[in-house]
Amino acid sequence: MTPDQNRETDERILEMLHESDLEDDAALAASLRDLRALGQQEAPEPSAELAALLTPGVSSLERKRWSRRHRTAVVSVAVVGAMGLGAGAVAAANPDFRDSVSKTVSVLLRPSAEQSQPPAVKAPASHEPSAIPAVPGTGSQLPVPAPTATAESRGSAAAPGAAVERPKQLPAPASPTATPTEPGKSSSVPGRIPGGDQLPAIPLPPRPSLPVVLPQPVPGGK
Amino acid sequence: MAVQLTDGELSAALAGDPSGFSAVYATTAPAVLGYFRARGADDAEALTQDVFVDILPKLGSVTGGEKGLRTFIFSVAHARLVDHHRRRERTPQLSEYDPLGDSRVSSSAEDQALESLGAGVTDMLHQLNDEQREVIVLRIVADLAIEQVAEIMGKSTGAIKQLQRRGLLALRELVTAKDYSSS
Repeated sequence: MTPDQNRETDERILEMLHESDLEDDAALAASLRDLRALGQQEAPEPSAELAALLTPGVSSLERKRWSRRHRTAVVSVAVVGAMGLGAGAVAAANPDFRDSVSKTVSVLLRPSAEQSQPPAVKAPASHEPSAIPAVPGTGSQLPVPAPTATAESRGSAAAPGAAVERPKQLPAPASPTATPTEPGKSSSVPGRIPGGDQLPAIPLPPRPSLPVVLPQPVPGGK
Repeated sequence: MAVQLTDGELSAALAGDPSGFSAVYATTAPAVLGYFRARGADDAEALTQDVFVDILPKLGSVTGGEKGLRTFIFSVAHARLVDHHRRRERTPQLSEYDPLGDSRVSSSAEDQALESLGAGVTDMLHQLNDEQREVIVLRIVADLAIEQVAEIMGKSTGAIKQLQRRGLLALRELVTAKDYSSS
């Protein structure tokens, strides 16, 4: 160890001891000097990889190995990029291509627009049943909507709303008491009156067929 | 013996010029090797070479002159040591059973007192807290200032001062006990 290094070592150790208020401890300072000697030995002999790095003019093969390993990926990315640029240039230069693309896009968008329309048509029909339950919601006035059908065209409009469940109530109606509540709903109903009259006739046949099927398994079980 | 790094060598190394790498290795490798040995690494020389293989290609991005260079090198060494200890904790240590090396048989106070007579400074360091040991080794062996140690360990300078003070106090007790037992 050179005198300069000895002096620097002592300065560093004394600085540390002073920072910790232990500057008077000579035994501790001696131990720290021994510890300091661990970092003042010879440098280890460099390995082959390290020696190559320490030698000027010797370039690392790591970059070349990396480029060779990833050559396929780099080339494929370049080809895809070039094809994308070419397709973009063609699209920009040819107006027919743009027209065909716009038509294709419009065709693709049409079905979705059409699909959105049918629900809009059926929507009023779906609203009718909700409007009809509102009438029974008034309480025991279930028979009340039926009388409207007998009164005028409005009464027939109320029938389709309750088409599935209240075909039998049509003959029964006789109470005209519900007439004040119906006028508000009658305006939307009349257009569907005919359809509502036909629907109740259809569900009737399947009901009788069920009792016919039930008796058959009974004898079979015996 | 370690030599001083000249300004030309330092600027060449920090510019990424391989001509300055040898000087950086010659001046700093002994401290890095001493750091690994003081921390009880199994293969200190291999770790030292790994550190320089890692840092030499990156010297072009280092700023702060010689101080910044030294901080950068020991930051990498500190990270390597942490990885080394974690790896050693995970992998079981396989070795043949040696009755003479089994410390469990020497549990008497007399044997412990005899062992402490031959204990060097590194053995005493191993009885310190890990962070206290790291601070003392970085300051003494690596010759770093408190600010550099704080940067490497990711702590404040106040915390490093506190660790250093507690570590030195613990070390003083060990040194005093050793002197008392040897006298």
